[in-house]
Amino acid sequence: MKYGSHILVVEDNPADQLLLKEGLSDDTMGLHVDIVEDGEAALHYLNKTGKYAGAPTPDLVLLDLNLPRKDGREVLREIKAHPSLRRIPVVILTSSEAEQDVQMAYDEHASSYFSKSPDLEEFLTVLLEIKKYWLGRVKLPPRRAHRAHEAHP
Amino acid sequence: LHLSDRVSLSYKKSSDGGKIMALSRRTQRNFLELRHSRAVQFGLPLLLSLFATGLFVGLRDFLSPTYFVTYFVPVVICALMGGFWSGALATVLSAVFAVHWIIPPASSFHLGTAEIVQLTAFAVTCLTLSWISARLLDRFQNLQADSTTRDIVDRISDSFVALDSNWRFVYLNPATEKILGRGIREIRGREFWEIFPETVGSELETTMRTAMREQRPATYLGLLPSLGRWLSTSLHPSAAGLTLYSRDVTDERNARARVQSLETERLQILERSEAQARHQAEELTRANAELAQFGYMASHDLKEPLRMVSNYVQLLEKRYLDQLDDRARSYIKFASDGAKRMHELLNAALTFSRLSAEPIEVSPVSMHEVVHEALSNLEIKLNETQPTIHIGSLPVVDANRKLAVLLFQSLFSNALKYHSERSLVLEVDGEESENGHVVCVRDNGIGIEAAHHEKIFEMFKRLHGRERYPGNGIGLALCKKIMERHGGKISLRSVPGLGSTFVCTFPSSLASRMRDKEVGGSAS
Repeated sequence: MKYGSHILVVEDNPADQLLLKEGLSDDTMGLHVDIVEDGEAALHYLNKTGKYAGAPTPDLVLLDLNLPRKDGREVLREIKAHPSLRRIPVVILTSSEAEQDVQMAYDEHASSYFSKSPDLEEFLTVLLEIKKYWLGRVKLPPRRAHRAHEAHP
Repeated sequence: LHLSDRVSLSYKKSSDGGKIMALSRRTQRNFLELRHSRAVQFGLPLLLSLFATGLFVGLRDFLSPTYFVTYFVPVVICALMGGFWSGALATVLSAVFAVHWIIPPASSFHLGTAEIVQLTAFAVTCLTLSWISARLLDRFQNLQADSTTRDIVDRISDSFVALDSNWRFVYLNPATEKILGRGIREIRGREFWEIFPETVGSELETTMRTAMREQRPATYLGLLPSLGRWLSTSLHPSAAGLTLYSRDVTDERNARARVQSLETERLQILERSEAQARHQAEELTRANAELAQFGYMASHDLKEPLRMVSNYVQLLEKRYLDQLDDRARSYIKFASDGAKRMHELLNAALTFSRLSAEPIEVSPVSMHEVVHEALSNLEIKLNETQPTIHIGSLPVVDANRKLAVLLFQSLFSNALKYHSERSLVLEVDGEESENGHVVCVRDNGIGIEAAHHEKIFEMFKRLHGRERYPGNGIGLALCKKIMERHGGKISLRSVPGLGSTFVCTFPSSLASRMRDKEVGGSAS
């Protein structure tokens, strides 16, 4: 895992937020986990608008589907329609096991789809694997690439 | 003659035909036959002429010398009986006999000029008499025939009307008079259009005028408003006028209309009840869908908070286990187990409600493959129990593959769970019955008492304590639901202590019947 990676977690349930923090935080590798509570905030964060003007561009987005204000499905669609944000891998982590949700996620170019397990160990294992794979194993586009469109519109 | 023949017959048949009438008809018929026989036409003139000659010769001294007057009677009789030519024959024979025996010199055909003139006058008179007599008879017979025809027409119950060429009434039969309420005496000579003014400009008028103009018979069916009756009329035109033969079909029509209205009413009732049934079916379908949707939502939404409970109980256990005493640890374990079981139940309920709510797609599926797939899903449990498995010949069935796998998986895990002390023998066999394809899953397990054969297919029904046989009581309910969704059924044959056989019957369809049965092997 690269040092100083950024993850954006979009999750409205405080209990899940806490569990995600538990599972993801890793001080030794300097991993930054930012959590936003709804879809609109997620898009502000990614676009660095409003109160998220100084936000970093994350290396990975962990997205819940059932969100207030703006639905996770819509957030996914907007990210993947964006000229540069679409390069950020979006991992769906949701309680929904509905087939149509899984299908929709991949149709909209989500990178992977996980259902939240009621078994704590399994849940933590999934988070560990996501971290290992997306922030360690996989080669991601360079961070400046996300701003490329801003320099040359 | 032909006509009168029929008349005579019809009168004999007619129950109210008077005897006298029948008698007079018969006499007339005999007379007519007589007139046309050769004996009358030739024999009668000869006989009567000879008789008249003999009479004159015998009574010559008492009779006037005008001999020929004697012959008028036989000539007239012959003409009346045998027709004009019979009269003419009598005239000739009378003349010959008179010349030979009466006119002097006797027994000779010699004639003087005076005699020739006299004889010619005689012949002319006789021929005239013959002709007049014959005509008179014809006339008489025509009159007879007319009255016969009229008799027939008078007696028929249908309406018969004769009009002349100026549409004036000439004749009405009594049936028409009854319908009309007026006799021919009252309306004779009045125009048809005057009596039935509503027919002017109607289709009947067109039909009548066309029939007359083209001199072609026609038919007409219509309502005569002034009578309020439906009439089926045949029109027979002739140069002299038009005859209308009408049958009153009002009752027929009314009966038919009544039948029709009853039929319509019946159809309406049928349609209404069908609509009602359809409506009820729709209601039921909707209610079922709503219920299934509710079950789906409820279990789905329940899973979310349950996940919180189980996650945090486990986190508590993980983080603080060494700080807790044994009692606290057992509390946490109970909470954690409860949450886990509830999660299983919710999953099962979710599967069940989804199975009820969602439409299933079927295609020809090899039961042989399905059974093997179900067994491979249960590999871990199979390794624990080590059963002997026999798989017989299994059919190809129109089914949903996923659900079929789930079905056999549930039945197999049921058998694996409830095995007895004996080593488990599991048999899967296919057979054909008149109800469809049958797949039997047989085990030599603990069996099920007959009293519970229905109950075990109910949701969350368990016959044993959880400690001995863990489970959620949903497996067999699921099996039943799967079979129902396929339009089939599942039943149980079991002897407690010996084993159970679950019989799954899939309805046969043409597609699956046409495919060859697959032959299975056996595995252990």
